[in-house]
Amino acid sequence: MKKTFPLIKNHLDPFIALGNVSIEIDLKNISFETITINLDFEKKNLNKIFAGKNFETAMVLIPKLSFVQPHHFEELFSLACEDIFQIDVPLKAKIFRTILMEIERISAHLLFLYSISETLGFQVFKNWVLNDREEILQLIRNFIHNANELSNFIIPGGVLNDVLQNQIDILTNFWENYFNKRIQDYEKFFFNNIILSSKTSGLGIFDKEEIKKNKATGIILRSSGVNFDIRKNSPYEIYDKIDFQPVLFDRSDVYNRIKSLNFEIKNSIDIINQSIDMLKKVNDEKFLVDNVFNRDYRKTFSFKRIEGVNGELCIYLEIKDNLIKHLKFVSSSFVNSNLTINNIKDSTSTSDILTIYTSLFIVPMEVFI
Amino acid sequence: MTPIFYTDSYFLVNDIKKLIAKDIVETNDSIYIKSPQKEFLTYILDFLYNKWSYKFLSMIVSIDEKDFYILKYIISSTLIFKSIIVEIVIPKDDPVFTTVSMIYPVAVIFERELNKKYGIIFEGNVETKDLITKYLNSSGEKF
Repeated sequence: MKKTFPLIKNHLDPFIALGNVSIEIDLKNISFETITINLDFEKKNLNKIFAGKNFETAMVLIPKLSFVQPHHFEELFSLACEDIFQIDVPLKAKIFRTILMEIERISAHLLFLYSISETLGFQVFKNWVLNDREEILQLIRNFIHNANELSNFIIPGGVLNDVLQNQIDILTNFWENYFNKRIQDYEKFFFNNIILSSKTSGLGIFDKEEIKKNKATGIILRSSGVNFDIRKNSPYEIYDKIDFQPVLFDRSDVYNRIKSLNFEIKNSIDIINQSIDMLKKVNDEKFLVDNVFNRDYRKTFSFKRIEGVNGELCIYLEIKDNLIKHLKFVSSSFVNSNLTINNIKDSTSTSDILTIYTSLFIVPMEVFI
Repeated sequence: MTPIFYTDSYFLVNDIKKLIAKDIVETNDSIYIKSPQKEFLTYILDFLYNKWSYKFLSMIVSIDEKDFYILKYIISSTLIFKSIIVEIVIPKDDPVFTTVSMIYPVAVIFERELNKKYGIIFEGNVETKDLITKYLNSSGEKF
C-alpha cells in the first residue's frame, strides 16, 4: 500500500511558488519497504535559464539558487570563472571569502538545528536557535553593506567591497561576548540533554560502507568515521593555512549527526578567529581584480568542488564566445534525498522517518539544480 | 591508520597514457580524458576506481550539441587531489548507452535525471526501463 504524507505544504499553486514536498512510503503492515521523497515541484532546468547569458547577469542570479548557502554558490561560480580566466585572487579577498562562508555555515547549522528541534519537540530551543540565526544573518548583511543577504559579495576576481575594521570588530565582539556563551547554553539545554540522546541514539543508522558507496559527503560521511573534508583534502581559498580538525564519530546515527553540528559550529568559529588574525598581517589593500571577463581564456570549461554546509557542492561551467554554454551544480541534497534516505533499516518505525529526514540536512530547493 | 595523499599525479597520468588513452589534458586541479570510443568508458572508470581509488562519481554532465550529446563523467578521489573528467559522445539518432551503476551506484539517479531531460537511455538502469520499451516500440526493433 502506497501512502503519501505532505512534508512541506504549500497553500499557493505549486506552479506559482515552489515548496511542495511530500514523502511517499510503501507500507507493508506497520513497517515500510521504500521511501521516495517527491520533489517534482522543485524541479527546474537550470541550464535553460543560464545558457547564453553573460557572466554579469549570471552573477546576480547565482545567490538566489539557495537561501541556505547563497555565498557558497557564489564562491563556486567565482572559482570556476577564475579557473577559466586564469586569475589570482588577492589574499585579502580570500580571507573575506573564508570568513563569510564560515559565518554562513554557522547560520545554516542553526537552521538545521531549528528543523531538528521542531521535529523532536524542543520548542524553547527552537526559538533560541532561530533568534540567534537572525543575529548571524545580520552579521552577513553587515559584510555586504546592509543589503539583502542574497546579494552579491563574492564575485569573480575577489569580493565586491572592502570590509572595514569596525565591521570586523562587531564580528569578534559577537563571538566573544555573546555566541561562545550561547553555545554553552546549547550544550546544557540540548546537545547533552538526556531526552535528546534517549530519543535519537541508535536511530537512523547508516552503514559506513553504504554511505561511501552512495557518495554521501559532508557531516554524514564524517559522522560515520571517514576523515574526508574538502577544506582539508583539496583546499581552496586559505583553508590550507588554517589549522582545524574534522569532527569524526564511530557510527552515523541521528544523535551523532546532531552532535556533530555542535562541533562543526565550534570549528567554524575557530576558523573565523584564525582568519581574522591572518587579516591583521596583510599589507596589500587590494581586494578585487578588475576586468576579469575581458581577458583571454586558455580553457573553455572548469569543474570545481567545495565543502558546502551539508556536503560536497560541485559546479561544471562551460563557456563559448564569452557567454555561458553549460552550467550545472550538484549539491549533496541531491544524493541524500534520492539514495541515502532509502538505506534506513526496515526495523525503523514510520513515525521516526521525519526525524531521520531532518538529520540528513536536505535543502529541497538544492536537490534539482 | 592515516591515509596517504598523493599530491603528485605524474604516475597516474603516465598510467592513463600507457593503458587507456593518449588524448589527455592536465590542469592544476583536473585531468581531462577524451575517450576514443564510447565503449571504452566502463573500462576506464573501472580501472580508475580499482587501481587509483577514484571512488566518487561527482556528476554526469550532458551537453546538447546539434547532432550528438557529449557526456562528461566527473570522478574524484579522497586520496588524490585532482578530479578526472572522462568525455564520450553519443549520437542523437541512437541515444542509448550502458549504465555505470555497477561501478558507481550513485549513477542511477544521475542517469535518471539525464533520461528525463534529454531522453538518453541507459541500458541496465531500471529507472529507464519504461523508456526502453517505448523506444523499442517506436523503432520496431525486437528482443
